[in-house]
Amino acid sequence: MFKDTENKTTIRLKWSLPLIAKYSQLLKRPLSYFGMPGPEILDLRAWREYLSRKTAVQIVRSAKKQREEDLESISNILVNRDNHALGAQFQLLRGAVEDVILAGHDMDGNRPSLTVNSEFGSLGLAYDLYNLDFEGGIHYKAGKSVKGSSGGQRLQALAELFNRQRGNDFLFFLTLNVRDTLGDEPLKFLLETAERCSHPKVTEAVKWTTQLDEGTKHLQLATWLPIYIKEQAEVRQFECEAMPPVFYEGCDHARMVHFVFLCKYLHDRHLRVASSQGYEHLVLLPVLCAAEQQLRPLAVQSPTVSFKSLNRVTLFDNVGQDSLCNVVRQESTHG
Amino acid sequence: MTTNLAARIQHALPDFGSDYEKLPVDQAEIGGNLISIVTKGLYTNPLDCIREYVQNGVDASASEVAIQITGNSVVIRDNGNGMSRADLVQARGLAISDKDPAEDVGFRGIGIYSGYDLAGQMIVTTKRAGEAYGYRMRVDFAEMKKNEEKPRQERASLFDLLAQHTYFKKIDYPGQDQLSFTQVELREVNDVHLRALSDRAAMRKYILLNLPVDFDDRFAHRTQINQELRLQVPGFKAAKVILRSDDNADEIVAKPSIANLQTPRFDSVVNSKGEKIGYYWACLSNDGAIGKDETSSTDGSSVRDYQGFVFKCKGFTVGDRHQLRRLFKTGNGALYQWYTGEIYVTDHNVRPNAARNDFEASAAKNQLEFAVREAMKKLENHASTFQKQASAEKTVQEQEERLEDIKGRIDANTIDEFAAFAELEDIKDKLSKQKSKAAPQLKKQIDVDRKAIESLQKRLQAKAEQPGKRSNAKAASSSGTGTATGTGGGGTSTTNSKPVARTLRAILSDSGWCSSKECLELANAVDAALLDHFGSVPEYEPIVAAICTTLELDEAN
Repeated sequence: MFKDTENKTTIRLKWSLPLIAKYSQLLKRPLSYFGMPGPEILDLRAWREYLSRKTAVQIVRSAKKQREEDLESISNILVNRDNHALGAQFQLLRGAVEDVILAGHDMDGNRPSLTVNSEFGSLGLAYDLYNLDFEGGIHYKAGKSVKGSSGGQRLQALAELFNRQRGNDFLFFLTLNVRDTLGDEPLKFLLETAERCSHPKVTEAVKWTTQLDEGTKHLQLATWLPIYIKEQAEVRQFECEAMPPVFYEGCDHARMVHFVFLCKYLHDRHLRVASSQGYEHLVLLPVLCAAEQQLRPLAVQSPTVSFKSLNRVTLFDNVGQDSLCNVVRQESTHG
Repeated sequence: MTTNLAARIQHALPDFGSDYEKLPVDQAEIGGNLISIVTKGLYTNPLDCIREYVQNGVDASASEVAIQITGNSVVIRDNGNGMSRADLVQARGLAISDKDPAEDVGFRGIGIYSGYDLAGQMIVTTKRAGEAYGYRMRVDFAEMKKNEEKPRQERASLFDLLAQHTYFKKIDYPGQDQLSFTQVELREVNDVHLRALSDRAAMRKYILLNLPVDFDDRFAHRTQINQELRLQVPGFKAAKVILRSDDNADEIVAKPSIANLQTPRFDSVVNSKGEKIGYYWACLSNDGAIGKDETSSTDGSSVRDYQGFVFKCKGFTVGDRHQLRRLFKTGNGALYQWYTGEIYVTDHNVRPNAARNDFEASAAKNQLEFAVREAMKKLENHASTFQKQASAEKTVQEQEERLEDIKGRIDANTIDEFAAFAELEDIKDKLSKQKSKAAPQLKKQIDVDRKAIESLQKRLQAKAEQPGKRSNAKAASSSGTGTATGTGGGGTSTTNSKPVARTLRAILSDSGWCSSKECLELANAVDAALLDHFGSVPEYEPIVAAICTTLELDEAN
């Protein structure tokens, strides 16, 4: 079961919270939330000031012991939401979050409360903030514990998320375990992207990525995943802006990367759009690290990284003394 | 697996002797199906289980109870005192309750199983203030119910079922020492019951009628009634019941604010020995039957549901509001609908039956019945007096309007003196008939009106008896103008070049200078006084003219 860690807390409070505050300030209202807060609903408690309607998704696995654990998590969510006065407009859906996104409803047939009639034919979603934690990685082998899974459901769900959110802007938090079963496909994807782009910075970054040693899968993920998300977004008329990825060590030393994307829907467009943050800007973003209650740039960075590139990022602003923004800005003065 | 009980007894026990002897009870003699049998009989409506869990919260001094249907779960959460570890374990027991019938409504120790037929699991999480830990009990109803499907000889006893399918754990709540609550989660509620429980309008109506909810904040008499009940009814509480949903804001369910009710009446219900066994509040409607003009509402609620009286035990309803209507004797109990109120039973020997549709038969219940009859009789008499007074007031008002009309027509000379006299006599007669029913203030008003009528009649008589005078009406008909004219009348003439003298009242009214009832009555009084003195309107014309000059009025307009 997913457990909280000190590093996760650091990200929650020093990275996510200022970003949410900034986004809420831009929209001039609190944000509706869709995510996987876990039994202690730590995210919701930390961000409560900026949240309105909440939809929490809790998986219920089918193996007996895991099912009991998951049902227990549900009970804890229900208790804790009231213990922390978060019970109003709080919806709990049961099932794997990717299944909920793909099917449009949970295992009991209940739809997310902000399901809307989309002009595009299917039922859409209209949340302001998504927080998805894929502890098992972005792609996994189908197993007994994940009934009916083909392994690629999470990737499909990410694409479907943009389909369902068409018409509505949103802030997207995505946390992934670096582990996946994609083999060398991510590298192929990067190489093909570099070839298509033909931009020297992209070529350089990809080349650097392909030459990384063992134990640097997080850097690979930090490079290809934002490109993948960007493409899924743009083909569905979303302008997508990525924030610097944040690497951290999670529960049981799991290596995790946390991504943030600001997705803006362009209503007057029908074909693929090009975000102002192009491929060449993506490879400039540094990879950060949450450790020892601090957020710092990783020691190992792509040669293309430029801290000054952060000046372009919309949500990046000074929001507090401990804000990462200050740390990164200090770094940026050096590079 | 339990072996055949009879066979066990056969083998394990010696044969009986010829004298009576006692035998210890084997745990296997209490069948595992007992819970199902008891709860199916007691709780026929899925909403009854909501009632039971809310009741437990109120008994635990909760001020708020929230109810939510989420997914396939029903969650009832209260902010009451919570349970200790020992309390929680005891809660598992059947028909074992530490609750005092004098203080609490639930005392049978069954209610915790009211969700047995509905759900697959029940999870009770609870915490007391001042403790760092809470506790959780999980009862696997679905597994227990499988016992019912087994062949008889394979079925487990109740003891074995409960031992095998109830689980306890401790839960840490760091930094929340002062928190206290109990949350009941009925998990995996079957679809049929889920649909019934998801009907928000039905849930709202049930809660309002059967649970100790407070009044709407806007109800004019809320504070007074609650204060009185807290003083007079031991253990009285009114809790906020909150309906929660995934999509909408929380809804606080409250008794409606019924408009135009008189100040509440309070009184004790006493038995033949003068001992207090109950306490009631009653509000009489100024508008007659409560909700009589109400159009139907979209959510199914209606203030008509609050007509009459209902018994309450610590705020929980026993029976319904129709049961006491028979105690209002006149007009098939029509006046019963003019009231809304509640009768709180404070005698703890009067106990509701398990279904809460009546009280258990007992001498105490009989005493209550007699005492309530007396109370209802008093209330009916009060309502009857009010009804008569209201009717008298209405009639007096109607007659006063007639009187004003007559006066106007007299002043305008559009009515024959004799016809006017007769109408005034009729008005006087009708007013007199109301005097016995009227309130004291109205009686005085009737006297004033009668005097005014008599004075007016005197004037008419004097006028009719003047020598050479023709009646205004006859004069009008003979001139063919169709309007009232005459040499001494008060109306305008269409044939004379000189305008006929008019009364002060007519001049002030027609000019618009004076339109209020009081002002016109004053003008009437002045006209009457002048007529008395001078004998006819033209005789006092100079005085009227002087008044008009002062007021800058056109005497002829």
